Amino acid sequence: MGDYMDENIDYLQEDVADFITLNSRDGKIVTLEEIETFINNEEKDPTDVTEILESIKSELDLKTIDDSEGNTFYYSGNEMTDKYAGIIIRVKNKDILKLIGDTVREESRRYPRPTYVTMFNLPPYNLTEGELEDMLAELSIDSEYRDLKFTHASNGTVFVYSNKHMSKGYADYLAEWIEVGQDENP
Amino acid sequence: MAVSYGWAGKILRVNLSNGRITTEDTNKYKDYIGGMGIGYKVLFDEVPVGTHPHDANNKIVFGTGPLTGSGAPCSSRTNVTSLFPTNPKHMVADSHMGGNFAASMKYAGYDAIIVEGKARGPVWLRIEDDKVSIEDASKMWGQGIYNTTALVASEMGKEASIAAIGQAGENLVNLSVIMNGYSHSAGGHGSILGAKKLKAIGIIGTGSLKIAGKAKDLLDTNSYMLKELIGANNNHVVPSTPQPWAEFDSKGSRWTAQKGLYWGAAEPPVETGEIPPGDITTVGLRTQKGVKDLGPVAEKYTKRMGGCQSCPIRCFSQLEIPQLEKFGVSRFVSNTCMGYSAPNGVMIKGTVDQFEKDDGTFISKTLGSQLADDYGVWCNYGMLGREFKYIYESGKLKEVLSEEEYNSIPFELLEAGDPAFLKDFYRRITFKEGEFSHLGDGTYWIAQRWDLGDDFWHGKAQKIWSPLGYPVHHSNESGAQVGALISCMFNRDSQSHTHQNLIQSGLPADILREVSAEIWGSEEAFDFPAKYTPMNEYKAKFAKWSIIRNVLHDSLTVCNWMWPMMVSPVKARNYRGDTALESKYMSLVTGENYTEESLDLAAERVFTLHRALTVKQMGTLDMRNEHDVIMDWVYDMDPEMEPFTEGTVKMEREDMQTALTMFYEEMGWDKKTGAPTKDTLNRLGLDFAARELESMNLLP
Repeated sequence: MGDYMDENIDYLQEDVADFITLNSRDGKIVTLEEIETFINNEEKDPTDVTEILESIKSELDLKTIDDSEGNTFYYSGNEMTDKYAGIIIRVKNKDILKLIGDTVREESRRYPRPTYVTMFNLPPYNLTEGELEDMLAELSIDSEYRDLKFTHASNGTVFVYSNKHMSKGYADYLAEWIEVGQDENP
Repeated sequence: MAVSYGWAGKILRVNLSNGRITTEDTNKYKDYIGGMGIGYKVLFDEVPVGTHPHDANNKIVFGTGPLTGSGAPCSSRTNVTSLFPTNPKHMVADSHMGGNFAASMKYAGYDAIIVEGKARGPVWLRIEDDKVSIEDASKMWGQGIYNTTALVASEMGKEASIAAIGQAGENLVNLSVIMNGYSHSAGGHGSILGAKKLKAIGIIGTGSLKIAGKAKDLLDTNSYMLKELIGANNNHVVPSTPQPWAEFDSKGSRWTAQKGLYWGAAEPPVETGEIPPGDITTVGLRTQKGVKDLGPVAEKYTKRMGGCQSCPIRCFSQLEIPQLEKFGVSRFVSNTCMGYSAPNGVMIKGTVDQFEKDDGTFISKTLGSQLADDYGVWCNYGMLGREFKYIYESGKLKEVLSEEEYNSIPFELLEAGDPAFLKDFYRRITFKEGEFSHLGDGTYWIAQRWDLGDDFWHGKAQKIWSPLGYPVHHSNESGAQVGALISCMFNRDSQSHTHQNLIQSGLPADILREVSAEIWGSEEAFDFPAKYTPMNEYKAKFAKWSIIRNVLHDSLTVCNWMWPMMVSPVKARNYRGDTALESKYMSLVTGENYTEESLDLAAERVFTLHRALTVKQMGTLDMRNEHDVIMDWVYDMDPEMEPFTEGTVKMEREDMQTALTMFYEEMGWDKKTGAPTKDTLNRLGLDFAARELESMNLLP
């Protein structure tokens, strides 16, 4: 009987590991409740979830991240970067304006490159076109973000950059290079 | 050759004048590795200075190397070496093609094929292992590349690897290609085969390549490369969109795989999905090149990605577009990069929608690709369209064509954005119809013929890099002086992707600067894009290394559009690549002890031989002022901006002379002239070149 229970727990660990892994690979972070629901839906025997999570922590490089309401989310570091999880949380926290500002500043500083605004329509940002439009409008009037400026390439693609980290001329050049120049010089 | 691990051991020599077919030992070329190295040595030794590319005395060398066909990833490149018709002095140059041809050469038992002489009438070369014959090509002559390939296949069977020329090559159009596998083309050498009346080469190789090491070690090395080092096409190592697994992304990356992106015309459609590093079976899904090259409309027409033998990357999109039949061409298209964009460059007024929304450019690219490939017309890396734009918009075309000829060209289609214009355009060039067709002569020759002046040569829009008549190709816009130096060193557009692959890898600049410091000694080797600094010694090292690795790859032969592995997509490696991987493969395949240093030295030998041959062919020592020259627009662009300010890739004249001096020093060439010194030639084992140049009074 003991062996049977141990085997069951092994299977359960494997299933929970797969659940977190697949969600992370799919760009999702999960709560403890979601993990418990998964276990219940699988009609597994009740068990201590935290114990299972502890047992798979190393294998998954299991990580947690909290939202502003104190909810804890789990993801596998093998499948998802901390950066990606951080963006998901900031979207959950509705910290969008600052998220855009920070992202643009970081890209202007580090790559360096201006950021194409439609990136914020893609996962994990997932802004609708209307939301993005509103955010960009807000960005352009909010004094906190007065370093963020817009430019566009000749194909119409709009970019935003931080003039703390690059001049207008530089942003203009890079926007055109990203959208047009690279394709003309394959 | 006593032991032939890696190398097939034989070189096939075919003399079309007397029909003599012989083989010789590869061993005498071993110091030059293979491919490009064999090509330069043959041209240096055997082709007299002053030979016209279309003379019987010119030779053409199809070269492979010890890694070709070995199973090493990205290793089926054919290096083609001969005199170059578009070059004003017809100097030596290389063209390259992927596909299966190179591997088939090796399996048939040949490291290289040297074709010399000139046949009396049209012939094709049939190679089935050691059975080689010159066959009558009367029925093929006049056919396009597609039909020619089919005709050879009908004789040899579908397993044959076939390289052919189209009517452009037959008609001695300078801008013509040799193509194998329907879409893998070597640009600029088609007319050499045309002049020799050699329509095609078909190869069946049923042999195998001997590998010195254990098969398991080779497979393990492949696995290591595919799991930890390789990215997508051009070794871009980050995806083009934000993805959970990826710390970095870059919109311009060719790692286009993402959720919801498909090979839409596959049955059933194949979703690329997200393809993180680690799984060697999915590397081929990373690059959805149809969408990358042709836009979103291409997705639903994409059957699959194709590519070369032993290459996991698959950078050729293969599409089925039924609408193309309305233009009288096949519905099946396969191509990549410039093969698509160059024909679209001819449509200088744009292309309007043809069959659905936003398909104008898509149709002009795919239709143009079909036409250019079947006729076998080359674009001189995009120059053809820019030249046409210049002569059309400047009024020069009206001036140099008769009224009758001018009025016969359907410019109304061009003005209306109708890609049917391309049919007329390519036909005239291919069949040398009228004065217009001289567009196919190449940049230098049309400038001479039509008296095109400074505004043509030095205008930014034309993007002409050199007075030798070739354009930018990852030049000043790619790594400042590094790209500029690289673009000065060959006799055609530089085809070095080493520096470009690093710069465009998609990683942030701080990582690329660290990698640069590790390889070339200082972060100063790497400039932020369009944020340039004055020349320094580390950039000279970067430029030399880039060329040397490019030459190495074209000699081994592996694909310089992927190699070397400078960076990696794997965070656990801190994104570091492995620049010793070529030597690991070489040691494994040949059983001899190769190091990075020994291979780089061999490649330096090959490149210096190229330089010596250039000096010999130009008849001057003064490479600095007669060869390594850049058109004025590179220095005069953006007049409101100074060089070395953010946002411009403008170069500075004096700084560029400093760059040349530093580069010459790195190479051991004469600082004043840029010609190889006797000491350097001797150090590299090129004593024979030193002696010959000395006899011609061409040693510094």
